[in-house]
Amino acid sequence: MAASVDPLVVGRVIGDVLDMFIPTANMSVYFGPKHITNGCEIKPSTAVNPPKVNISGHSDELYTLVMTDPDAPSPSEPNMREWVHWIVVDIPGGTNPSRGKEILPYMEPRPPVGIHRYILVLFRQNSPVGLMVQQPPSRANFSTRMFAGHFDLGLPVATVYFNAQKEPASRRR
Amino acid sequence: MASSLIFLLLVTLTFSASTLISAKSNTTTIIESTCKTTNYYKFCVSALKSDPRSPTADTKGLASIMVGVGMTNATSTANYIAGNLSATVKDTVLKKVLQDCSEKYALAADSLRLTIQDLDDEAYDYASMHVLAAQDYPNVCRNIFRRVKGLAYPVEIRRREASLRRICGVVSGILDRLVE
Repeated sequence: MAASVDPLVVGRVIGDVLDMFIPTANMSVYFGPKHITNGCEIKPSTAVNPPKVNISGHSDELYTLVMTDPDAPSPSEPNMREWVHWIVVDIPGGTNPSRGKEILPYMEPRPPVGIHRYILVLFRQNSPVGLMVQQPPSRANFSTRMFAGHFDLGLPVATVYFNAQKEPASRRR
Repeated sequence: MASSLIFLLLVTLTFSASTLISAKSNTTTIIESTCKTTNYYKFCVSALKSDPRSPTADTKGLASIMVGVGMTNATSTANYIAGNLSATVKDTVLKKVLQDCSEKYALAADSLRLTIQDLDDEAYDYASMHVLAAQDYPNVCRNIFRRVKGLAYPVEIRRREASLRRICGVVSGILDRLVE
């Protein structure tokens, strides 16, 4: 009866960063013991190290993972959209990013102002891309859409996002 | 007559001296309280105190001074890598690595230049992101070395990387305070 409202649409992940897609793979993301579900809040201090990501799929398939923030420097004025935090390619299906090629090292969320969305996008590759991909010259003004188009990644096969904001000074460090 | 003049003189001197003392401790307090919000208190205090503009600077001014320190570091590192090392290196792979690294440090300096502009505009959120970028470029250089098998990451570049990271860490800490 009630239409299921896609949290990615509600959260404007689809729209601001991605186009509509049908998930065909599973991806589980954990920061420590915390399992990431769409729109959950993560404290930056718990996300200093890259999350544990497990993906589904066959071992002969290769996947690309991108983590990006469309709300840089602030959600009300996101003129640096997107700020890309992590790019790993050639991840064999059924494994995790440590088995892939890290094109851009993980940078922890450090939102200066406002609540930022941090989106993890998974693509299924048509072929190995490792050697072709150069590090983006700057993390700012990255386009996941364009990156996917450039490397013929197609539409995402899985996506999850979390929210993070600056922690009060007393709890940081 | 003379004794009252002397008395007046003494009083004036005492006043000036105490004003000087309290003024000095006020500026020390601004630097100290600003540096307390960072992870590198001692380094922050010594770097700021050695700049002649610090005593009259507010928190935003101190941030700018620190960014300037970072720009000097990043630019000198870019030049160091491009000049000293590249000239003595015959290996084409290493030469390319050093060229790329030098570019990254130049980009870090550019980011810090943008940070100064952001501070002038009081756009502290932009400033934060630009400092993050500046802090990240040296990592990229280190990763470029790591990616080449058997290539050692030069100790001097490692030292300069740590130095720039520390400077950027201080700026980030000060910016956090300005944003609040």
